[in-house]
Formats: sequence, C-alpha cells, structure tokens
Amino acid sequence: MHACVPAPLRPRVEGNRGERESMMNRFLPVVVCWCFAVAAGGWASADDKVDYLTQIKPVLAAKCYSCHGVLKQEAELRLETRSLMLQGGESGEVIVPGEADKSLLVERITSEEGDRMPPPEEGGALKAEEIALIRTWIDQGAQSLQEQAPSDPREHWAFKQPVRADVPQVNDTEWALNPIDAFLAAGHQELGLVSVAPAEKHILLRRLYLDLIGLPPTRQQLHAFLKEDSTGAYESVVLDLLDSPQYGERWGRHWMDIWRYSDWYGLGKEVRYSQKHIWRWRDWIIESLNEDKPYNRMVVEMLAGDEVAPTDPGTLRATGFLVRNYFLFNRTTWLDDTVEHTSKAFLGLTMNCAKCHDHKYDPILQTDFYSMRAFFEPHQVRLDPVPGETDLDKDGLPRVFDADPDVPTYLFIRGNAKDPDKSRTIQPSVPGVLAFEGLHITPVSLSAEASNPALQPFVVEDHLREAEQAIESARDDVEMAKQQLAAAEQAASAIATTATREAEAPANSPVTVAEAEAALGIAETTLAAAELRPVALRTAHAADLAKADSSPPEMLPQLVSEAALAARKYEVAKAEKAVARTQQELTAADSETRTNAENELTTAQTNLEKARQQLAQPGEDYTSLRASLRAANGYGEYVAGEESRRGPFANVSTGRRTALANWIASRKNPLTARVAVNHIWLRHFGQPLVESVSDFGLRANKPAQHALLDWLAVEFMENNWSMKHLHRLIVTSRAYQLRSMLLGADESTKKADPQNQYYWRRRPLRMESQAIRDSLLHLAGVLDATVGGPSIAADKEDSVFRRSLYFTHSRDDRGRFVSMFDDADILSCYRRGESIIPQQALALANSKLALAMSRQITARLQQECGDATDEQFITIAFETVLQIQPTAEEAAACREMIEKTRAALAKSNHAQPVVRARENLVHALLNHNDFVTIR
Amino acid sequence: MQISMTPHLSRRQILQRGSLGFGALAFSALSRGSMAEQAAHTDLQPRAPHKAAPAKAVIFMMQNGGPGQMELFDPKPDLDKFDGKIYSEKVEMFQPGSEGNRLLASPLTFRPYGESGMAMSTVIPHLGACADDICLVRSMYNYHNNHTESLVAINTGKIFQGRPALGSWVSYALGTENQNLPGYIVLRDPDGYNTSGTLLWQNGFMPSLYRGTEVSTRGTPVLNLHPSRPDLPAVKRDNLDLLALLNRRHQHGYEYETALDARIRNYELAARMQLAAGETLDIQGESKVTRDLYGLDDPMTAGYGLRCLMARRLVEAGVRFVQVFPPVKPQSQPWDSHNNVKDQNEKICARCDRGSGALIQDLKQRGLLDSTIVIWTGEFGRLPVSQNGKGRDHNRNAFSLVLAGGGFKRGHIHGATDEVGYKSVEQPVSVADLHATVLHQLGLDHQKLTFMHHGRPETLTDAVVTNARVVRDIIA
Repeated sequence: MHACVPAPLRPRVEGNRGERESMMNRFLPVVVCWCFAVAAGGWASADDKVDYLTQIKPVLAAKCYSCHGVLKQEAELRLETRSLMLQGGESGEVIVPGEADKSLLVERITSEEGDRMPPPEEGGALKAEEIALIRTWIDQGAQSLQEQAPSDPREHWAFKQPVRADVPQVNDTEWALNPIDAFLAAGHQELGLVSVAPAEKHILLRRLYLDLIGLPPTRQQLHAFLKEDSTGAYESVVLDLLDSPQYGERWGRHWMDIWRYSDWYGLGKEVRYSQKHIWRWRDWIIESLNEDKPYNRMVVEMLAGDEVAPTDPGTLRATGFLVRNYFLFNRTTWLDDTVEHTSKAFLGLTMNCAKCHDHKYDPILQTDFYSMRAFFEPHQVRLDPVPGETDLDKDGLPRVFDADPDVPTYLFIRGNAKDPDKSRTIQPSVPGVLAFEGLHITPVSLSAEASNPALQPFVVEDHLREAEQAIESARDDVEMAKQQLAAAEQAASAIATTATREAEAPANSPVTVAEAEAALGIAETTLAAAELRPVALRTAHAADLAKADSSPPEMLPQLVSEAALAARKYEVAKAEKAVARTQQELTAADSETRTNAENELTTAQTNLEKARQQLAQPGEDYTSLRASLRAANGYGEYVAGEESRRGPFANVSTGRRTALANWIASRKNPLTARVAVNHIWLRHFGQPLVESVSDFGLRANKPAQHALLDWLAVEFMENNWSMKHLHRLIVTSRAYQLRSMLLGADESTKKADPQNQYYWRRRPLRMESQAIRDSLLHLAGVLDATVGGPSIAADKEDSVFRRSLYFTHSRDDRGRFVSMFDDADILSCYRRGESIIPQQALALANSKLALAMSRQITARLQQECGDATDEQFITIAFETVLQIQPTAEEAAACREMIEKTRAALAKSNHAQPVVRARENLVHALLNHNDFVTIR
Repeated sequence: MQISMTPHLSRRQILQRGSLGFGALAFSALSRGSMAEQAAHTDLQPRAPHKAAPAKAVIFMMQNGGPGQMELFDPKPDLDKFDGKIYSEKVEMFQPGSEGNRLLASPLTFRPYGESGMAMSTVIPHLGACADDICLVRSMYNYHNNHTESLVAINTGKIFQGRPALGSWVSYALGTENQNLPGYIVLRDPDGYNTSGTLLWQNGFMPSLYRGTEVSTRGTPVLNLHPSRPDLPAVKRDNLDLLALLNRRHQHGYEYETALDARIRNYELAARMQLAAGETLDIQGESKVTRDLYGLDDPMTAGYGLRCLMARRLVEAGVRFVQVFPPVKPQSQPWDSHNNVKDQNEKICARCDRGSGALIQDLKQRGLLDSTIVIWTGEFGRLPVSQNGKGRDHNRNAFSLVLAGGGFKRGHIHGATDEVGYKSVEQPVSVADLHATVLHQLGLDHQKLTFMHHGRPETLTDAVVTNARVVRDIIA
C-alpha cells in the first residue's frame, strides 16, 4: 500500500532542504526538476514567461497522463505533447493558444461540477497555483519545444524477450575468455576505462568461500590453495564449493530474503501469520539449490506444487512460498501480499500499485491486479500429517490447495474490499502487455489421498501405533490401580485389627478402599475402550478406502457395517468409562458438589443406555480418521474450533496457479530470467545490473549492462535454468576476481565511472548478519554442520551452534545478535541493507557470543600449534580470522599488545596471562574491519 | 578486547564533542555506491526545522490495549441513565461477547480537576492533578479494531506494517541534540514486549539509524553495552589501541572507503555511548522528593515510574524522541479490558497513573514542558456496550488523547463523542491529524517532510489519502 504512487504527485516546495534536493537531483532528475521548477516558479505573474517543460508538463504528468496518455486514452485524448493537446479527443482540441478561457483543459480542471478533472476517485484537484500557471502558459501562447509522443510501453526493454547478443571481440586477451568479461571489457574499451588488477590469492579465496558457502576458508584450506599453482586450482575450488551442502544453506538464505521466509507468529498459541512447520519450505529451498533444480521448475513448484505433484510431500513443501502469506484476520490483505510479492519476486512487477487505480507508470490496469488475484482466489492453506506424528502442533506439512473453485473475484472499487464491483466476475489472466501466449487453465483432478490425506497408509499406522501405546499404558494403569486397591484394603484391615495401636497403623495408603475401587473402575473401563480403538480405526480406514477407491463396490456395504459396529462398540466402552468417572466424582463429592455429581452420573448412565441401544442397531455411521487441518478463514472460524476444518477437501484443483506458474516459468516470459539473473548477480558483486531489483517496469531505465544481462538471461534459460551454471560462469570471470582496493587505480577511470557501472573494480561487501555469526562459529570449530530440520528458538543463538538460517525468524522472534547487522526484513527484503551503527561495534566487542568465540578460537589454535611463539601465534591468528598475513608493522603492534597485556595480567595474578593475552588479540581481530568485510 | 572511552579524552570532553558522535557517522545507503534511492540525511546532527516552533522533543507514553474513554476521560451520564438498555445503533464488534448490544454504565466515577475543572476519573488522580497543563482531545479515532493494526497506525501513520515510526520521522527530520546517545529511544518493560513489540519503533523504509533503540531500565541499559567478561582497565585500553591501529593502518590501502572509516569511528562512538548512557540513566543523584514523585519505592509504581523518570532524564540530556511503554503484566496489552472494566482499569491505573502524572509535573518544574510534547494515548477506545457482562470490546471510532507541553493549549478540552461515547462526532481528530499537528509543533510541515522510497516522496501522514491537517484549535 505504502509503495503506491499518490494520484497527484504534488510538486514539493522545500524550505531548508536545499542540500537534500541537490543530492536527490543526481538520482531522480525528472522528479526533482519538476519540484524545483514549481518551487522556483511559484505564483506566475503575467510578466513571467511560463516554461512548459519545467512548470506545466510535470503537473500534467502527475495529474492527467495516467488516463490521457500512452497507456490509456480516455475520451481518445492524450496530453503528453502540445500537438496532442491541439489534436484533442472526442470533444476536439483542449487548448486554444492565447485563450485560456476558451480552452477545454482549463474548463475541466477548474470545474466545480461532477466533470472536474482529475475525477475525485483518481486524485485531488489541481492547486490554485498550478491552475494559474496553466492559464498563463496558454495565454502566453502555449509554447513548447517540439516533442516526441512517448512510445508504446510494449517497446520497454524489459518487456521484450531477451536476445543473446554476439559476444563482443575485445583486444585484451585476459578479458576475452569469459563472455561476461568480454561484454564488460567492450565497455571499458569504449569509455577508456582501466580496470584494477586481480585480487591476491588469499583475498580471492576468502571472497569465494564467503560468497558460495557463507563461511571463510580454514587456515589449512588457505595454505593448500596458496601452494597450488595449477591453472585449474581456482576452478576446482569453485566446483567443490558448489557441490558442498553448505552452498544450499548460503544461497538458500538469499532466496529466503527474496521469497520472504517467515516462521509463524501470532498471539500466544494463535497462529496469525504464516504457519507452523514452515521450515519444511526452507529445507526444500536448500535441497533444491543443492541439487541444482532448474529455477523455472522451482517457480512452478512454489506456486503450484500441489497441482503438479499432488501426492509428493517433498514437492508440496515448496508451496510454503504461498503459505507464508497466511493472515488470520483479513483475506484481502493475505491475497494482496500474495499478488504483490509473487509479482515482485519473479517478475519485477509492481502489481500492487494497481490495487486501487490503474498503475501510474506501467501498463497495468486495476483490473489486471484483480485478474492476478483470481489465480489465487480459490487457494487456501492447510497442515497435512507427516509420518510418525499425529499431533499437527508438533509436526506437519504446511501446504496450499484449492479449497473453493467457485469463489468469484471482484474488482474492489478504489481498492476498498467493502465495495466490490459485483457486476463483473474477474477471470484469471495476465497483464495484456505480457500476454505472449494464451493461458491454458486445466483443472487437475486429485487422487483420494491428495484430497483426503488421512487415507495415506502411514496415517492409520501412526494412529494404530498410538492406540497400541494407549492400551499398554492403560494396562499399566489397571495394574497400578489393583495394587493401590490391595494396599488400601490391607491398610483398612490393619486399622481395623489394630485399632488400639494407632501409632503403628500403616500410613502408606493415601486412599480409601472406596476411592481405590473407583479408580480401578476408571482404569478398567479406560483399558476396555482403548482395546476397542484399534479395531474402530482399522475398520473405519478400510471403509473410507473402499469408498474412495474405484475398485469393485460389492465389498463396501460389509466394510461399512463392520466400521459402524466397531464404532458402536467403542462408543459403548467410552460411555462406560464416562460412567466410571462420574461414579468416582460422586464418591469424592462433598455436600456441596453431591447434587451436581449425581446429575452427571445420571446423564452418563443415560448416555450409556443410548449407546447400548445403538449397538443393537449399528447402522452405517462411523467416525472417519481426520488428519489435516485447514487454516481458519478469519477469526470467527478460528474461535469456533477445528472440527469444520479437518477435511476431506475438494478433489479437483482449478489449475489456475499451474497456468500462472507456467506463464512465469516460460522461456518466452521476458522478465523471469532477467529478474533472477539480476538477483544472483547482485549477491555475487554487491551491486545489481538493474538497480530497482523488484521493479523492472517503465521506470527502470535500460541498464548500462543491458546486453550482458540479456546474454546471461538467455544463457541461464538455455542451460536448463541452472543456477550453479550461472554461479560458475560469474565467479570464474575476471571481473569477479578484481581487487577491491583502490590504491593505485587509474584516476580518470575513478572519475569516469565512480559508481562502477562497468565493473572495473570490485566492491567490498559487508557480510550479512547470518554470515557473521556463522563465520564466528566456524572459525571456533564449533559450527554444527547438520542440514535442515525444525526452527530453533531464536534465544538459543548463543548456545546452539547451528547455522543462523535454522533459527526462528519471524516478526516477534529473531536472534538479537544477528538482528544488529541488518537482518532480513520479513515483510520485504529484495536487497539487504548495509548500515553501520554503534550497536554493531558493541555486539562484536561485548556480546557473549563474540567473547565466547574468541576464547574458543584461541583454545583451538593453542591446541593445534601447541608451542607457538607469540610471533607465530600472531601470524596464525591473522591467517585464521582474516585469511591474511600480518605486515611487519601489524605484527609488531600485536606483539607489543600481547606483551603489555601479559605483564599487566601477571602483575594482577591472573591465572593464565598468556592465554588471556592471546584471546584478546583474537578478539581484536574479530573486531577488525575486514572480518565483517568481504573484500 | 572491549570498548571503553578513548584514553586521551576526559568525560567532559567526550560529552562535549558532539561532532564526533552519531553526527559524524558517515553511513548511508550511498556506501553501497551506485544509484541509491535516498541520498538525504545520513546522520543525526541537529537540524533546523522548517520554521521556528515551540517543541524540541517528544515523549510518547504509549498505552497499549485501548484505555476506555468512558472510564477515564470522557464522562457519559447517558450511559448511567440507560445502563443495561439495548443501544439503538448496532455497534461494530471485534470479538464475540457484545452481541446483546446493551449499554454499560461506567463503574468508575469522575470528578473535576484543577482550576479548569476538567472531568477525569478518580482512578487517575495524578494525571488529573496535571489537568491545567493538559490538552484533552476527546474526539480521536483510528482506522482498525485490531490491536496490531491500530498500534501500527498510531505509531507509523498507517495500519500496514513497514513504515517508519513517528520517532523515526522526527529524528530523520531534526537529528538529535546529544550526539552520544541515539536520537530515538524506547523504554519498555524489562520483563517483555507489549503487543506488537518492536514493530512499533521500526525505521521502515528509512535507514536503521532512525530505528528506535531499546534502552533498558534494568541491568545493562543498551544491549551489549558492557562486555560479558571485563578486562583490566589498562588492558582494555591496549586492546582498543591495537584495534584502532590495525584498522587505521588498513585504511591506507582503502582510501575513499567510507564504510571502513565509519566503522572505525563506530567504535569511538560506542565507547562514548557507554559512558553517556551510564551517566544519563544513573538515578543515584535524584532526590527523595523525585523518587516519591515517580513512586520509585512502591513496587506497584516503580517499574513504569522509573521509565517515566528515565524519559525525563533522556530529554534533559538532549534526546529527541522517547517512547515509554506500559507494564506487560498482568497482560501484554494492559489496558485491554474485555472482561471487567472496573477491575482492569483500577489495576493498570494503580501502576501507570503516578508515573504519567509525575512526568508532566517534573518536566514543568524543570522548565522542560514548554519545549517537550507529551503524548499519552492508547491505540483506540472501547465500546459503550458491555462485553461478557462487565467488559468492553475495542472501538476504533472514539478514544481520548492526552497532550501536554510543546505549545499545546492548557486545561483545554477539544472535541466530543456522541452521547454514549461510541463515535467522535464533534471536531473529530484522526491519527493522521495528530501526527500532522505533532510535526507542526516541532516546526515541521507534514507535507514537506518527505523521504523518497521506490520513486515516491513518502510522508508520515500521506495527506493526499488521509486528508491529514494540523488541528489549529488545540495549539496555544
């Protein structure tokens, strides 16, 4: 919502914000020059010459173009140029140069009737000073320079399919090997840019490790690489790292940013956002990356895994992408998020801007927003059972499914959910500008097991196992009750026989005989009921299976009868148990509760009587096994309880999401591959090819490296959308391997391309929050390499040494250490922030984690290199923490610090002055700028 | 290694050298290079407002849960008259329990306070004692009946999450006077978070420099402020010196690298923060009179009272925006009286009233009230009808707001609700209006204070959509 553009983009009149303006000027030339112009212009007097370009056009652009421009021509009118205004629309010309009072434009923007422009639902009226400017401009002859009318949005670079350009021929042989380099070097050649030298081997290795697996190399790995001279050494490290399971963890976290991973949160036990066990989707991401699943297949599985593989729990996990948007209180908010982030993540489209009105910049109509919503309209979220656990609170599989294929989608007038336009049902479709081929929506019929997961064999087995366990435990209870009764009887008789010797009466029986008898009654009836449960389960399951199965129906009546009989027997046993329980309550009742207890007993006895009568005529009813739980549709349904949400569910899925997913994943979609490539590139280089990573619409200018982006997009698609292929290509480029140090860089290059748009040098990056914590643990040798599994409580980040992506990450729960370093925002994180705030210095200097890890690292180094001198230790510590060797000056400073510290500690009788001094050194290195920096 | 103050500077010098503080911290989205969208302020140096204004600082006492206006600030004789009768208008319920739609008289009593004779409940005598300094707005309304949405709205302007809080906007616009402390500080119950937790002091689309920093009134005031394992004073100085040397040495090769430079200064700043936070939050020097004023020696009032006192000390030390949160016990939204408005109000007032009143009084006697805006408000009010017999459900259509200081009228009542307090009907004030007016009192024009985000000049109030306007009638 907040990201939408206000209908009237009012010229900003700034007071003391001059400096900010001028800085913004660099980045937003268009918007800012409008602002300045109006600010400078202010009220126009008849003497002042009004400037069309800076004073008039911006107002018309903000107020009028969305309906009278290239995207839409209400009344067949366009207003983007003077000649278009003279050409006019249905009502003829709208300006009469020299005569504002006769100009239709002025009439309409000043009208106080219902025909005022812009219409109220499209935005506020023009301001008095804006109208005055327009009048004056027309009176002055409505002059403007010759302008071209804006072109068709279908010509926008990102809306046209990427074409693989020929790889440029470049002179520099070093830059001719990798196509990425060739494209970049062509730019260097053209602009006369001189790239810096490649990074030193140790810096390169650390960069590569942190980039591909999110952990620095160990000292041993560093030395092995430094020793290796063969040309293939670097490439073989690349391959090893991409093969490592830690690759999936590192890049999984990146994609979790983009796909908005969030664990569930709410109030107490009430799930309000996302779903329990959503970590299964996180594991699917990691596994998919590690097996190099094609990116377009990943998109299809995330959007429609339940339709393309309805019975494969491994694939169903992928739909966590949609599950994550679950919101208890408001279906529209839920679907708004789904539409917005599906569009942004995969397509770089800001569909959300068209919720209340047509998009102000892009060729997306308000109807398009609701057509997109229609793909998701039928879908809902549920938890399915997983083998080995029958309690969905403890474990389960969160996934989506189409709950209601018939629910209509309506356009909400001005985005107001309370004001749907019911005159027209909106059908699922994609924005016209991107409709490169027809959508094929084919309903998917689901197997019985897919629509009713309780039919899966493991479900009944798990319930049977549980029932057997209940029998065992009921048997134990009976045994115990018998013993208690015996003890009570013994105690009673002992009291009776030794009534005179009270002091010796056995006091080990806390209950009376009557109480013990009642307890035994409960235990025995509980056991009887428990023993009938397996048969009830088995027969019900068999009957359900037979009903669902298309196999010969002759067996069905008998199976149903058996199930009904077992159910009636079980009900009788339960009723007997209830009688036993109420009897016990009566035994224990006092004068106050007696009447109540008596009534309850009577009720229980009546119920038992009824159950016995029904046993005589068992009928055909039985209790089917239920194993899934659909998420509540709103708070009311949540409060009402779970019974109505247990399935079975619809046996047909609309196929809408599959159609959408296939359209996104299509080779013909101009956006999908470009957007993905841009995300991957951003994370390798720290700067994207297209700056607005989630907006490839008309406001995204053609990037400096457009040819390279398109070449990579085509390369990506033609290599089966393999991310590992792309990673390999990128990290083996020379551009990737350049130094980040500017010392000695070519001065004119620095001036010509300070933003490094031509990649003539490497940009240093701050590690992401998770990489910082993971690296600390890794250097200390305590990192637990276990992959996957349930989320770990966020407050255990100091004590459980798993990788950071496995900890709870929700609005309400996240690690305090990682949250200091620009942790991913669960609402939207298409790109991480890189702030520098004092709390980060405090975290690395003082936190329990940083201090404990510096001790641990030191202990490990002491053990590995037992009798190292200070000098040796300093080198080892540098190599371990920073993967560099200290300069002589640095080593001397460290030596001095160690000596001084040791002396001071010894003087104050510290037990281990040597170790402590070294710990302090290691800790200082963890606070070094280059520990958190990827050079 | 641990951070400590730089050895060469005395405490006084450090506290005076604002120029080295947050202000000098050149961090920014720019350090990522390239076409960063926002190139506006990237520090917390004090900045002039759009025009001269009475207020320099804000203390926002957030009262999570929705205090009942008809119990505390807005007496409704008609409720007494028609107690138990079915209300003619079907009210907008949030939770089940109010289906009967029967009016509920307030079980609490009102009395006039101060020379102005402002009617407020007898359960808030300390706030009542400030009546002549209070501007009471009885005609507030919010946009949503759920706590989170409504809380997010009153803190960030809209019900949708992801926007910067009022405190972020103010520190973005004005920076802060004390360069050794964060500009926007949050004081919450050390026992836990209120409803919606950290969501209420987010920086949204602004840099994290403008996020509210939690300062704890118990134990270490700022997370990680002190090392979990301290070093000898001489040793820690050596460590810091070494770190500075290594980083500076390193800088030779990385000229132009603003991130490196900022990170070096970050350590100096952290050290000063350690000192300044310790000094500002050390209440040893406060008199017995002050302790009593805030109720620090009474376990009922001590927790919230201490946060109120801290708020005063922080504003005194030059912090721009302080937010005070209520207790998390007995519940995380302590004003949420669904079950029994009498018991629940009495309980929470017993904890919160004294500190709230004390803060206003203390600011006044120190001459700080004129330049400090005090806001005391819940996220919404409560319904005129009963819920579950003796409680009341949420009501976004009407609630009362207490303002004090900062150039607002004194002893003044603005607006009114209908006869039963269901809706604000006279001179209604929206959350956006409140924000526009608070900014106005700080010398900021809510339509001019913009932050570019995704190509859109965002404002706190989004006046185009909300029609936010400055409420002139409550300004002195």
